[in-house]
Order: sequence, then C-alpha cells, then structure tokens
Amino acid sequence: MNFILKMAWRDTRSSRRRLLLYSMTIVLGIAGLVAVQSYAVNLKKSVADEPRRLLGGDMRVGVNAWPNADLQQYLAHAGAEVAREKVFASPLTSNGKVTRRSSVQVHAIDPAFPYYGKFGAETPDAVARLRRGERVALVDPEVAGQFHLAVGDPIKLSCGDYTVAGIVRDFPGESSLVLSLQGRVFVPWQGAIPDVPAGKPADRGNYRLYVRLPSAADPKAIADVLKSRFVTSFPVVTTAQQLEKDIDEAIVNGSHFVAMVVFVGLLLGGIGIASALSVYVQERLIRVAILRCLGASGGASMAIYLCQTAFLGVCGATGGALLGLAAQFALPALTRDLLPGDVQIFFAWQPVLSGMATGFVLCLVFALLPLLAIRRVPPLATLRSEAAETTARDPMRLAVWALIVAGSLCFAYAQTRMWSVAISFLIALSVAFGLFAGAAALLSLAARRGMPSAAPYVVRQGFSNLYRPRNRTLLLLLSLGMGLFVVLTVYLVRSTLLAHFSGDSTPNLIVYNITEPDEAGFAKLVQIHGQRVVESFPIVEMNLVTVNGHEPKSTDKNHKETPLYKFHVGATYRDSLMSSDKVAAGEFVGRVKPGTPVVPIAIARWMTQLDPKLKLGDEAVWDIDGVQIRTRIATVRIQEGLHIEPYFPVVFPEGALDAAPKKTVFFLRSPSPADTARLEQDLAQQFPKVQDYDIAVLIQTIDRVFGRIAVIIDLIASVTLGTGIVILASAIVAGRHQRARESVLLRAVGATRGQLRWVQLTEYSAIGILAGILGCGLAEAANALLAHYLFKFSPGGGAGEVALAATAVIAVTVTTGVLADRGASRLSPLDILRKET
Amino acid sequence: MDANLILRVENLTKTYAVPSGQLAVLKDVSFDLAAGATLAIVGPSGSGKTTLLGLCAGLDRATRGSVVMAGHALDLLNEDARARLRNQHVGFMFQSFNLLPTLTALENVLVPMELRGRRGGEPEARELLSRVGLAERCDHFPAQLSGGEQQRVALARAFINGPQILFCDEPTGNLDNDTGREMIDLIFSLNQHKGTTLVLVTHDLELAARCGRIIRLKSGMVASDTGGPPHPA
Repeated sequence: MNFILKMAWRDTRSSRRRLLLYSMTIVLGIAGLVAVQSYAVNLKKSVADEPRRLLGGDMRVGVNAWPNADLQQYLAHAGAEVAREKVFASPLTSNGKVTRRSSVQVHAIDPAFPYYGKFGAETPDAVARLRRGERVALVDPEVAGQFHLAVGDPIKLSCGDYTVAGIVRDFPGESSLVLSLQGRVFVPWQGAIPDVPAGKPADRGNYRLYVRLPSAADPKAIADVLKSRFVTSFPVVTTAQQLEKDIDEAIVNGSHFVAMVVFVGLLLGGIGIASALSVYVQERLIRVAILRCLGASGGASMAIYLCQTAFLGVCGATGGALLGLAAQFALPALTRDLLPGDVQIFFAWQPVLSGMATGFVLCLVFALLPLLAIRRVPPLATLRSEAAETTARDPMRLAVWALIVAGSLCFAYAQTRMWSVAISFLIALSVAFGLFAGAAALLSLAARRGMPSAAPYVVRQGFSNLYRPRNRTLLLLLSLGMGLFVVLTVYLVRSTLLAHFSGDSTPNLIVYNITEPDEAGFAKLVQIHGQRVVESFPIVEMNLVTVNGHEPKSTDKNHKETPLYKFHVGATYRDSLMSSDKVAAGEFVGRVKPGTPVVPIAIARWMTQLDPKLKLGDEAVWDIDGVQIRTRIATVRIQEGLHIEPYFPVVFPEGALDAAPKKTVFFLRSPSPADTARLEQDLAQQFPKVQDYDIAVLIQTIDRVFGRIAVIIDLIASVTLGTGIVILASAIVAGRHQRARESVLLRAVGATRGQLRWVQLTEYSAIGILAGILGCGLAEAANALLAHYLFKFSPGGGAGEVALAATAVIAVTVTTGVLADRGASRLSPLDILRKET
Repeated sequence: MDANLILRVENLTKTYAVPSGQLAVLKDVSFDLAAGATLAIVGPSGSGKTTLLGLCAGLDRATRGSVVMAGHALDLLNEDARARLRNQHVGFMFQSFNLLPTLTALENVLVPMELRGRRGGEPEARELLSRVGLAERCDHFPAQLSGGEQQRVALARAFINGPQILFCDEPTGNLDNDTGREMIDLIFSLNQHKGTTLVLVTHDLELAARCGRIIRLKSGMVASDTGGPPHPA
C-alpha cells in the first residue's frame, strides 16, 4: 500500500495541474448539489420556525358565506379568537395624478389581522390607521404602480371612497414577487362589509377566518370538526402544522427536483472525467508496462491510478463543496423576492457530506471505465508498444456501466422515494442522452461529409481535427449543446408567451359585466376609441336545481346526508365550442330552436370530477332568475392550452338562452396603451359598474415571473454548460501533446504559425458552431412542441435569443479552446521529441 | 531440472492470428542456459529475437512449449505470479531505456525494491548509481539525463534486486558507439561481479561476440547455436 500511494503521488509530478483541471469537471455538479441541498435544509429550518407567521394565525379557515352563527359559536366555545377577511373584486377609480379605472382585488380585514407574521407598509402608521377603522386603504406595489398612486390619493372602490395610506411591503406568507403580482387593495372590514341582519341569509363570497387558538387547543382536532360539521360552507382549513408540512414537502420535492437536474450535470462531469482520464491512461500505458515488467501486479498498477483518481475526486468534492457553500450564501439574494420571510443561512453537515460523497463515488466509478484497461496492460508492451492496445472486450466494463445505472437509479430513488419515478427519471435521462448523442453524431457526420474539397487547407484541417483518433467531439457537443438547450428553451418559451399575448390578433383588454341595456352605448365607445372587438361572450348566471329529478344530495362514508355541489355558475351560449375546448365525451350541439323542452348542454370536466354523480346523459334543471330550464348533459369538455378566454363551466347552444337576462364580457384589441387609458376613463364615467382588465398587466407579469425563473434555470443550466466548458478545456489539455506533435510535424513541412492558429480557430469554431446548432435546434424544437401540445398556439419570437445564444456558445468555445491550448504551437520541436523518450 | 540451469526453453512456439490464418513468429525453439552464462540472441529483423526474449522473461505467453526459469515453469503461473517471479529473479534493460519519467534516477532504481516491500534500500541504490557513474545525478529526472545516463540508470535498476538473470533488448540500440561500448563494459562488469546470467538481444555482432554463447535465429527458428552444452561465463 505504501508503494502504491508513493507511486501514485510520484506519478502525478508532471500532471498535477492537469488532474486538478480534470477534477473541475465535477466541481460544478457537486457545488450544485451541495448548494441546493444545504439551502433546502436552511429553508426547512426557517419555515419550521415560523409556520404561524406565514399563515397569520394558528389556523386559517376559508368559507363561502358569512356570517355563520354555528361556526362562530363553535370557535368561541373552543376559546378561539377570529380575525375576518373578505376578498372580492371591485373596480377602482383613481383621482390622483392619473385618473384610471380597472379591476382590483379588495381585501377587507379585521383590525386583529394578522395574529402572527408581518403586515406592514412603507408608511409607518398606515397599518395602524387601517386597524383603527379609518377610511384608508393600503395598496400593493402592483396597484400603486398601475394607478400611479401615492399616499394621500383618494380612490373609489365598490365598497366606498378611501384615501391611500400606504403601500404594502409585507404580508404574512407572501413573497414580494407574489405581493407585486396580485393587484390588491386592503381596507378596514368596518365600513366595507355591511352587517347581515339576523334571519337574513348569509352573504356568499370568499371569506377567510384567521384563528388564534389557546395554547392547550388541538388544532388538528378542531380542523377535523370544522371540515366534517360545517360541510355546507365548504371550509378550506389550513393549520400551521399542515402548512409547515406542506411547505416542507414542497421544499423537499423542489430541492429533489433541482438536485436531479443538477445530477445530470454531474453525470456529464463524470463522463468528462472518464474521457479526460482515458487520454491520461493512454499516455501512461508504457509506464504501466514497465511497472508490470518490474514486478507490479495488474491490480497494484490499477490501484496506483485509482489512488490518483481518488485524489482527483477529493479535490473535486472539496472544491465543489466550498463553491456550493458559497453559492448557498448567495442564493437568498436571488430568491429573496420568491420566498415569504427571510431564510437563515447556516452550515449543515449532512448535505455537504452527501454532495461530496455523491461526487466522489461518481468520479471513482466513471474513472473505472478507462482505468480498467490498466490491469490488462501486458509487460510485453515494454518491448512492443502496440501490445498495450488491447482490443479484447472487457466484461468488467459492462459491470461498471451496470454500476453507473444502478447508482443513478439509487440517487433518483433517494431523492424521490418512489421507484416508479426513479425508473422514469433513468429512462428519460437515457432517452435524452441518446437523443442528444444521436443528434450530435448526425450533426458531426453531416459536417464531415459536407466539407467541400475546394475549401482552404486550414479549414479542412481544422474540421478534420474533430475526427482525429480518440477525439472528444461527441462529448463536447453533448455537454455544451445540452447546457445551451436548457438555457435557451426557457428564453424561447418566454418569447413565445410574450409574442402570443401581445400579438395583433390577440385581445389586450377585457371588459366585464356589460348588461344588455348598456351594450349599444358600450359599442359606440369602443368605436370612438378605435378598439376592435375580437370576441364576446354572453354570461347567464344560474343555479343547479336538480339532477335526474333529485336535488343534488349525497351520502358520505359515514352515511350522513350531506348536500353536495349546488352549482352556481355563469354559463354562456355559442354555436360552436371555443378553440381551446376539446370534447372529452359526447357530442356538442351548437343550436336549438327556442322553446326546446330539454336543451343539450356541454359541461366542464372539472364539474364531473368534483361531483362524480354528475355524468353524461344526466338531466339537469337550472334556475335562471326564477325560471327553470331543463337540460341534458350532452357533452363533457376540457380546455387545453394556455388561453385568455374564460373557461365557462356550462355552455348552452344558441337559441336556448336568447331571452335570458345576461351580461357580456368583451375581448378587445386596443391600438395603444393611451387608447386603453382613454376608454377606461370614459367607462368610469358612463358605466361605473363595469370592470376591465388590461392584458398588458398579464404580459408584464409573465415577463417578471420568467425573469425570476430564468435566473434560477440559468443557475441550474450553468452546471451543465460550465461542465461542458471545463470538459472542453480538459479535453484540449489532455490532447495537448498530440496537438503539439501535430503542429511540429506541420511546421516541419512548412506550415506557418499563422496557419496553425487558423487551424486551431477553425477547430474550436466548428465545435462551437455544431454545439450551437445542436442546442439551438433542439431548443427551438422543444419550444415548438411545448407551444403546439401544451399551450396550443404557434411558437413565436426568439430569433434574437437564438442568435445571441449561438454567438455566445461559439465565442465561449473559441476563447476556452484558445486559452487551454495557448503555447502549444510555440513549443520547440526538441521539447516534443524529448518528451517522447 | 539441473540445479545449475537458470533457464530451460523447450519447443517454444509463438503464433499470431492474421487474416490469412496463423503466423508463426517462433517455431520449436529449445535451449538450456546455465546460471551465470552469457547468451546473445542475434538474427535479422523479424526473425523472432524480441519475441523469444519476451517469452523467456515471462513477459508473454507461448502458444506452445515451455519456459522454466529458476525452477519455475512460467506457463503454469498466472500473470501476477510471473510478475513476482520477475521482481525476484529478473532484471531488464531496454533499447528505449523505459525509465519512469516522473521519478528521479534514485526513485527509478528503488522501484523494484519498493515493489517487494523492502524499505531502507536507498544507500544500496545510491551505491549502484555511484557504480554506474551517476552519484551526482541521483535527483535528476530522466528528461534531464542524456541517453547514456538514462541507460545507466536502467542498468542500476536492473541490478537493485540482485537478479539471477538479466534480459537486455538492444541495450545499445539508442546510444552512440562510445557510449554504447561504455554501457556494455558496465553490463559485463556487473554481470561478472554479481554472477548474473545475461541474455541479450542484439544486432551488434561485436557485442554478441563478447557473450559466451550465440543463438542465431532465422524465420523464427534456431539457425545456429554456438553454445552447445551450457557453460559459465
């Protein structure tokens, strides 16, 4: 053992820097694993410390109507304190610097809200004024920006007039990104929500109760009672413990997902190590033969190089762990806007050690692929060097591949704890690698075949270098192309979404609640301001009365009768389904004669999923303002893709609801933001109850969300892309001697240094161009597939991103190549010849 | 086997598979070599000299026939056992020196000893390097030494374990005449001093003439053997 360690150390004398460079191929992968898993531990700990602060109470109960005397009585009996919140949509009219009106989400809150956590505004006394019940409103940054609101500005909501007291900066359980996307206004409960007189039915709406429980209370037991006893209110109960568990699961699942993506980068690093070491081992076969000749066994010879690989693995794992820890400290700054509350960063041993161990083992296992050849080097190679090149198949290589597959499977299982997911991951990984490798091989073959014989010598020589024996072209294309693919796909999807939602044929303004008497006036306004109606949908509100002659009732597992979904829906009528609709069952009927006794209707599949008793062929009776209409469920439909159009739960045929009272929602195309603003202004004056939504806000939201996601995706993809760059540098350094020898030979036959430089530039540019074509091509394909099959619209935009990405990958490849290869063409022939002795 | 014999070669045949069938590079070669003898194997290029040397030294396996070295039948040993045998009984010198480039001259000489697990051999290695005239170059790496110096390091390495037999493959092939002659003097001087058997492959007839016995190969067969019965040098 002493000899093996000593020889391993001595043998690295001339190649320690090279080995360190090889170890870099796994550094980024390990850093990614350590950073993600450490950060997940930090995050879990931070959440575990404050679930109540994120919830705003010990428990949050969402109900569909208020007041509910029984519920109040039960909570009071349990010793709970309750802070109420009602959420409702309202038009907002601003009379500040800019007069505009649009729809916002109003949150009327009790003074006690929240019991835990931070509800704060930029202006110090704003929250206190709201709690005192003054006629003040707090607006979130989105509303403040959209309406150019400042403290002191008057605003008008459906619940009254208010003065802006401040801009909300903190809200329990919400990140600043979420806070900035919502478009909310907070007002005091008092004065906004009228009391319901005793004996009158409760007000239907979106109510939330924030509950503080006595310390002895059992939140889970109370939650169970609420869910079973008050089922008609459809309570959505979230306890702090449940929230903590949910967030914990989300963190674990999220971190495991990212870890698996990072693991792909680490696998690429492992392949990079195997590739670089195969060159390293090739150079050392004669040394191994000498050792065999002097009496070293095959196992001892291999052990020498395995020790070196272990050293390399330790360096890579240590470097990766340090980089990962540094990244862990940088992550909070990147995710600050995405997470509610602050994350405490601390050192956690377990993720660091597991990340290091994963990288170390992976390095050793992948290194076995080239190292196995060492044990088969015959001592005869000292006499005949060609004897070192064994061509016989080594069954141990199969065993190593089996180990790699089993190791990857175990890693995936350790992350997901589900064999099915782990196997799917492995299959997907194999398919992805196969696809990339196949595309890379085809591309490189096409480049080889397509090279015109009339091309200048330096170009032909540069390209032919891609196919020299033991070249790394495929691996480089795989790693660089894959990294580019991941990064570019995110940007292309963003471009597709933005292009779609801002395209000329896409509506950019939605106006709701236009009643029949207002339609003519509204049409005139639209004409005056140059807007175009892209589409309109009549909405008829109705209640489900019976299904197959029975009131919607059901029996739960305890044989307790519980009324089920008494659907109250806003239905529409059309002669055809919307483009985003797909028939899941039955057949859509687009037109019936007025007075048809049983109208064939189309319902959304989610209704049948919510209430399994509702099915195709059922007869349903609906109540529209006291008039009952009999229908038959003729179609079950689903909405596919990403669309602005509303997804109506029930679609009637033309002719069935013509006489029913209705409101209409209009989808308009406005020529410019100024035209939108002018229309909104006139709408505010002429139709105060009408609400509108500017799609520009949605486009900004998509842009902002993608902007944030892109940072995270870029970081994950940088593991793969960065690994690709290190592999490129390693491959160049590994083949440096061969290159230097070639350049000496070329110089001997008259090549100038300038020509050698051009050969070099052509080779690296070719790798960059091929990787660019591969990454960009596959990213374009992925974007087109996502657009077609997921979003259900045409892919768009992205030419700029593609050009930029391709240029960047070529520039990075050429720069890395030239830097790694610098000086090779300047070595003197004597140096080369001496090294060959 | 006679206790005085260090090497017995019987009907040694080596064939390689080629597209047209089997190519025999060595055919039924037999000879015995006494301990302490000096043998030169000569012949034109492609006559099988190096193949014979490799088989005798246990670096390769014969297709047919047997080699018994120091009482051990090489064809009955696996590769690791043959490696141990080489370490204990055999020294090597090659045309291309075959020093380990990342080791100093001293470390190169120490390798066979370290492989045996022996410690504290440095004074012995320095002594050997001193005997080959490299006392001042112990800490130099092969790339810092001339060809002749590298071959002298190889010679010191070959003798560090006190081998019973030294195999040399064209030991002067990469050296100029004067350096080559010096090297041969050194080899024979150490051979006589240590009583080591010497088997060398060479094209150099002058060098071959210094050996007690010459086997001439032609087309893989023994064309002539001057030695007859083995005798000490």
